[in-house]
Amino acid sequence: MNPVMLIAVPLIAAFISSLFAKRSSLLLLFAAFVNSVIAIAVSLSAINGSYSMGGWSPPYGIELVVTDMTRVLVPAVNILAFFAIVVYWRRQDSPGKYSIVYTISLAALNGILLTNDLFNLFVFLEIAGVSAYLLASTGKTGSSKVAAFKYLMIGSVGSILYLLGVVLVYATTGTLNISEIAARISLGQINGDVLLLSSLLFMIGLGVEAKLLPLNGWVPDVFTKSSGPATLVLASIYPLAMISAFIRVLLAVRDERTMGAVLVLGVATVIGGEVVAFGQKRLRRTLAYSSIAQSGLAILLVGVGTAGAIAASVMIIVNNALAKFVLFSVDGLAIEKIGSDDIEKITGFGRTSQVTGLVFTVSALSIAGMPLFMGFRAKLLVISSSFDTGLLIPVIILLAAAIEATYYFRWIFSLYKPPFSRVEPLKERLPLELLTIGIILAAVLVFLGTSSGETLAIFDRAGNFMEEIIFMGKTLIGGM
Amino acid sequence: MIQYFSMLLIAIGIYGLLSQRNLVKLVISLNIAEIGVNLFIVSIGYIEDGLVPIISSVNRTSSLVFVDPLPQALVLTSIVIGVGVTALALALIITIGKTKGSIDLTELGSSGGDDE
Repeated sequence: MNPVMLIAVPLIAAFISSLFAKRSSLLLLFAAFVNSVIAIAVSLSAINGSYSMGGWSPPYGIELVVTDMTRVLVPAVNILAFFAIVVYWRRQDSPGKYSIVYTISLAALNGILLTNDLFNLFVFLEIAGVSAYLLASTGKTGSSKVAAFKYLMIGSVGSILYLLGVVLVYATTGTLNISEIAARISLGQINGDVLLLSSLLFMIGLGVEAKLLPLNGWVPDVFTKSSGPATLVLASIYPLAMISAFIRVLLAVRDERTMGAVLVLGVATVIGGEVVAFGQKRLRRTLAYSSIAQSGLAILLVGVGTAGAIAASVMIIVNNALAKFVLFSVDGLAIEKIGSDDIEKITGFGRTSQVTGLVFTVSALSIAGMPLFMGFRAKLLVISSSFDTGLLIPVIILLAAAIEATYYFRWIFSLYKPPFSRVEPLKERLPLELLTIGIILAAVLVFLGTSSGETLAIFDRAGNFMEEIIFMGKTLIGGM
Repeated sequence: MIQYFSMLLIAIGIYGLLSQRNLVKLVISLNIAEIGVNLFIVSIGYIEDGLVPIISSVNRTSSLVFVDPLPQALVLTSIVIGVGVTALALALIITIGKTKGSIDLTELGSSGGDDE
């Protein structure tokens, strides 16, 4: 199965739905379903390596690559997107007239995961970015538009800086192909100062979407003020693609000084996110700051840069995507049923529905890194791989994990505490789709946390993807 | 020379983004920075006395003094993307102006709170 179908199917669906606006949500569901099937087929059957586009072979044309990392992330993105649409299918704030934006964002996210060309990555980042600004503006209040505008501003500045970095790299190496660039840099053919400048530009440009510390001011406002399905997509699916782009580009343009900066900023992001999340009184804000902290964790591992660290980084983002999906959809349900997700209002919500409480608890424990869940193995790998940099980073990560566990336990307890006022059992039935998908995702988290080590071998292989990329590049420049 | 000029434009744009409070002026600053980057991209491909990279009846020899055509293709894409983003930003400003009654960042507030 050629992976280009993952980009083509949603794009065609988006074009068709611009003609039949009333049917656009059906087309979205269809595209997401077909994409999930193709993603599984690509993940299981496609051969690792390059797929050239438009009949131009790699150094001249755009190529898509399938690596072991793509194999993990592509099914995760597409299946979660399908689930997100199913969860909100019959609810009040279903994608509706915004369906076309979701369809295009699906195409762009797949493009980001698959492409092996710096400028093509820029185009897909912009498409994903513009879709994200639109998704951020779907909230009911006017302040969601202000949040979306601020997101647009900082996102555009980031993409300008990224473009500048791309052009500098092109001017020096004469190519836009990521594997060729990585191969030339690993052979030491590029001036170190150019490398430093362009990798710093990449760090800042991609850091906006990857939620690196000084650039993540947009996150809490966008995540709290946007509509339910948009938040779900932005919080659980976007980070998969954005952080994978960050990992690939920063490792290709490998510069030790920038890696040091990534490490320091990543640690600062983790601590900042966890500390602020601890003080929040609303569930959705807590989850938003926790997303920042999780991204910081995945980014600081890029700064460590070993294969084990990248494997840990991929595990962290997959764990974050699966768990945040459940947490944000339960939060959306609470807002819909109770009208608010303040810590006082939400007290006892877990008692009204056993299953909701259960899947929330499982996901929260997995994010917090408790044993038996996937998060535990991810955090274990994070700490063991960060020992390469000395003792300070693992200690800081453990400290941050302690803060994280504390506030997640507080939310779990308040979900089960008897409410202060009268108990008001919900009359309507809870949406079946949400419960089913919540149970599936919670089961996956438990399965990945308790299964034998062999199921996790795929993450270890994913951590080694850079060797493949550099090997492909060396073949391109004629093997040395 | 033109490369220094384009860096200056980027610097002006970023200064505008940091100093202005009016949303439309922010969009203009963004556009200035974008123009700077686009000029820089074009300047990368320029070669002194380079020829048009097309083999035609007038120019049959494929000498190596062609202007690099790739940055021009890149800049075309980047300009189109810039126009799209600007249009979206202006549309958002119109909605903000209608719902909030102001397009000034100081009057819109820091909006860090939970006003819903």
